[in-house]
Order: sequence, then C-alpha cells, then structure tokens
Amino acid sequence: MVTIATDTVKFSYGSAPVLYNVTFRLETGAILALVGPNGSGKTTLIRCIDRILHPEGSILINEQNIHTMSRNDIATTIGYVPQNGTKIAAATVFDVVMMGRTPHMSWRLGDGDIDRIEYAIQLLGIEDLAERDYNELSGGQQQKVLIARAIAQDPKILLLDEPTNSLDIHHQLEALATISDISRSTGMTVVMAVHDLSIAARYADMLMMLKNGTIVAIGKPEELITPERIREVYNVDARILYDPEAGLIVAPLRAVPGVAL
Amino acid sequence: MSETTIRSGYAKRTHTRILIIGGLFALLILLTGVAATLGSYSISVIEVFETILGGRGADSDISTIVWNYRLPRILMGILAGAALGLAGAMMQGILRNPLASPFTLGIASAASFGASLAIILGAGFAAGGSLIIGNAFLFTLIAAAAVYGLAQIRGITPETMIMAGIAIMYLFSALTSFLQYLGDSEDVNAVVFWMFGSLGRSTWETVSVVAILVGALFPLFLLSARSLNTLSAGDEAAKSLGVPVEQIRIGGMAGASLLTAGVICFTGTIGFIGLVAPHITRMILGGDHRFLLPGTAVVGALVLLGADSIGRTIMAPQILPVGIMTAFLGVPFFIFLFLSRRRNYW
Repeated sequence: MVTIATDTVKFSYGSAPVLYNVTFRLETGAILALVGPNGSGKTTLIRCIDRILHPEGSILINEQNIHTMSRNDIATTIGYVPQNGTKIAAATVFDVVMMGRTPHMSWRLGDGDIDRIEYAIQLLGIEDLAERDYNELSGGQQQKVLIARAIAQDPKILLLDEPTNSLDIHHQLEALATISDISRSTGMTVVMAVHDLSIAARYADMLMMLKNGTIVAIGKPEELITPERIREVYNVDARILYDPEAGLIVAPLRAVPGVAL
Repeated sequence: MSETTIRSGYAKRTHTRILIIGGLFALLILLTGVAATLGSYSISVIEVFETILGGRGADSDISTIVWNYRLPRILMGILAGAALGLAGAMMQGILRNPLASPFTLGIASAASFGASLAIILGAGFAAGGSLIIGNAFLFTLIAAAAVYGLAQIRGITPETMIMAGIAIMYLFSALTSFLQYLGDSEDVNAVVFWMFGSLGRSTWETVSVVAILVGALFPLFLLSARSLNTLSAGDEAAKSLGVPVEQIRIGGMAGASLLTAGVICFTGTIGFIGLVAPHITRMILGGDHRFLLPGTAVVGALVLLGADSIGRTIMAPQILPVGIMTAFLGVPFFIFLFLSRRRNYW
C-alpha cells in the first residue's frame, strides 16, 4: 500500500545532533526493524517519520513529502505506538482504544468506528480488560492497549517504539505474530525499534543497524547479523546460532570493556 | 467478553451518562424553582413555575418579584456556575493537570487587581459605572495573554503554561495587596467584598451578556471534546492521532479565559467552582469530555445556585457572599466523593 523513502534526514535536539544523513527506502508491506545501542537514534527516527519531530532532509510517504500533508492525513496513514509510561486520566481501555479513531470519527462514535475498536481489542486479546481503568493495568497490558489503539487507527504504516519491552516472552511472541499477520494480510508497512536482535531477525524482513545517528548497515537480517557487526555496533562479542524453528539466535557472550556509550 | 458485550457495554455506558446528565439537569430546574421561592416575600414553587411559564410582564407582585429580582440572580448563578465549571474542565483538559483552574493560572487574581485599580485609584479602561467591570474583564485577558506570551518562549506545554500562570498569579496578587496598602479603609472594604464574589449585582443586562458568551463558547468547547480526550494520552500521542495540539491548547486557554473574564467581571471572584465542578463530574461520569463538558456545566450551575440559595437563607436577612458558600458546600461533597471512589479518576 504505502512506501517510505527518506533522503539525508538530519535531526538535532538543540545543539546535540541525533541523526545524520539517514537515507533509506522501504517498500509496501515490509517489516523493518531498527536496532542499535541506546542513543543510536531509533526513537528519534520513528518520531521524524510521524512528523512529531521536524527534521532536515525529506521524508516521503508514497512519494508525498510529509511536510505537505495535514496532521489528520498523517494520522490516517501512520499509526504510532510509543513506549508506554504515560498516565491517562480517567480512561478505560475502551476509551484509550477509541482514541485510535480520532482521525476518522466525527463527534459521535459511528458503527464503523465501534467495529474497528472491537476488532482491535479482540486481535490483541484484551476483551476482558475493555472496561478496566487503563492506569490500573500492568505495563505489559498497557502496551497491548497501545498497540490496539494503533490498530484501531487503521493505518497503512505502523511505527512501534520497543513494542515488546514490558511483555513476557509469551506475549512478545503473540504481539509480534499479530503485527506480522496484519502486515502480511493487509500490506501494512511496519517500522519497529527493537532491542532483541533474535526477535528482530525472526519477524523483520529488513534490518537497519544504527549507531550514533547513522546507518551502519541495512539489509536482510541473516546477511546483517554477524559477530563482526555486533561487535562494531554494540561493542559486544556474540555468537550467532541457528535453530530450525526460531531462526537466527544471537547469543551475547561479553561486553568489550572500556567503551563508552 | 464477547463482541456484543464490547458494543453493548459502550452503548450502556453512553445511555447511563446521558441519563445522569438529564437527571442533573432536571434537578437544576427543580432547584431553580426552589431558589425563586426564597426571600422575604413568600411564594410557592408552583407559583414560581406558573409565573415563569406565564412570561414576563404579568401585572402582579409575584411576577414583578420573580422576574425583576429573583430570576436575574438565579440565572446568573446558573450561567456563572456553568461557565466557571466549563473553564475549569477546559483548563484541566488542555494542561492535563488536576489542579488547573482559572485561579491557578492567575486569571482571577488579575481580575481582582483590575477591580482594585478601579475601586481604589478610579483608574482603568472604561467609563463611570462600568469601570470595575471593564477593568476586571480586561485585566483577565491581559493575564491570559501574558501567560501565553511567557509560555510561548519555551514552547506551549502544560508545564510552561502552569509555571507562567503561577508567576502571573503572584504578580497580580502582590499588585492587589500593594493597592490595598495604599487605599483607605472604605475602599479596601469594597475590594475585599468584591473579592468574596456575589450574585447580588445581577441584572437582566449582565445575565444576557454572560448568556451570549456561554451560548457562543459552549458549542466550541463541545467540538473540541474529542481532541481533549486524545490529549489526555500526552502531546506526542495526540499529535500522532491527528490532534492539532498547540491550536487546541491556545484556543482552549482563550475560551476558558473569556468565560472566566465574562463571569467574574460581574460577580467578583468565585473561586471554587472552576476547580471542583470538573472533578465532581469526572468522578460521576468518567473522563470522556463529550459527556464531561456538558455534565460539568450542569454540576457547576447546581453547586453555585445551591450555594447561593443557602447563603441567602442560612443567616437571613443577611446574605452570605456566594464565593464563601461555594467552598462550604462544595468541599465536604468533594471530599466525600474523593474518599468513596475506589477507581483512579485522575
């Protein structure tokens, strides 16, 4: 459905540069995992693609520059799942998922909106939480609610910032399988920042390794993930294993001493 | 929970919330009737409603008393309560802060300064009898503009607006104290009485002005309800969901300031409603601004009219200023709700 193409994207927080000359192209329906150490620019890049931040350079969504799109056009095209942690006052899970309909709904919540909210809630398996207070949920449950909110938004592109960081391994697999299934069945393009390289390799078609705001490498996970590159990007010695079902597994061995972040 | 119960759960909650707002509104109409019976001339509730439904201009003592004396005060109580409640709900919504109200942002202390300037120095922006009203109104808007201007330097966020608002509040409080220090005791008394807040100065003209203001701004507030809901998830999430965050914040601030200015220039400072009416309503109806805003308007009207009615009778023939009574009546009710609610309402 929708491609993403960036050209020499640069961004600084005040005088501290975070992204330099990020250029890549992602085809419709692909799943791209952004990996790299803390502070490498993964979250910043995601925020730039959603125009929450305003970088230099160009970001094209289906060949249209995002700077020429209205806020609502962006919201009907791009869904964003931030890292959880924000308290939401007096809102049930249903209320939070309903927020995903903001760019679509009129003042009244229409039947079509409710259909989509139900679909999202069921897809994430959080029916039992629908009337619970959002602030009372565990971090993992909140993370699922935020993913459901983005699914309710019915986006063509889904951006996720460490979507599995508060989930146990069962729910990690479930959530990523759900996102991957939707991408395969609807052609939704996905960009997600992830820390776990094995998870990234398993679910992503493409991997982008970032370090200090620049792209170190971009390509297929099995081509990119090598002990040499992991040492280059993370300063970690690692062994790469292969399991016929789980795929590529990165086993970190030791941190290379004396290297600052 | 099955598919039908997610849908029917929402439908049920919606119906309940509409019923509660309807019930509160019915209670307000009843309270209006009761409030109009209060006073030295004894009139029954039935007579009050007959007189109101019979229209203005009937040639009787009851009609004169109800239409000329009691209704303007009652309607001002309803409109002022609704306006201050709405202003508070809007500020809490755009600033995502449970302590936000027209008072915490310095808007009301600016009105007090404007009124003091008129009373003590006779200086200000309007002529003659309108001097206090004109000053209070304009200084309120000046304070709002100052909060906006200061906050904009660092970017319009809840934090910058609250910091700027607190600075402005202390500035105008100090200026008012300074004027009181300069003024003679009669003028200082007048300032203090103005700051208590009172519905006693209400006329059909002042009621009309506030009615127009509330009538014009209430629909705009309602239109922003969806954006306010989404804003509660944070600026970043709201932007990503298509909400023009800064416009909503600036527009909401302007609307809330206008409502507050339009009311307190006529009534003096009535402090408690803007903070607490939204909280009471949120505890009853939940955080969805599509219901919270109309609910807050009705609850604000109920609390203010109820407080004024008690203030008129409890020490009759002496009338206690409504600004004092709102806190006496509202605080216990607020504490009761606050302690009895299990759920996080904020």
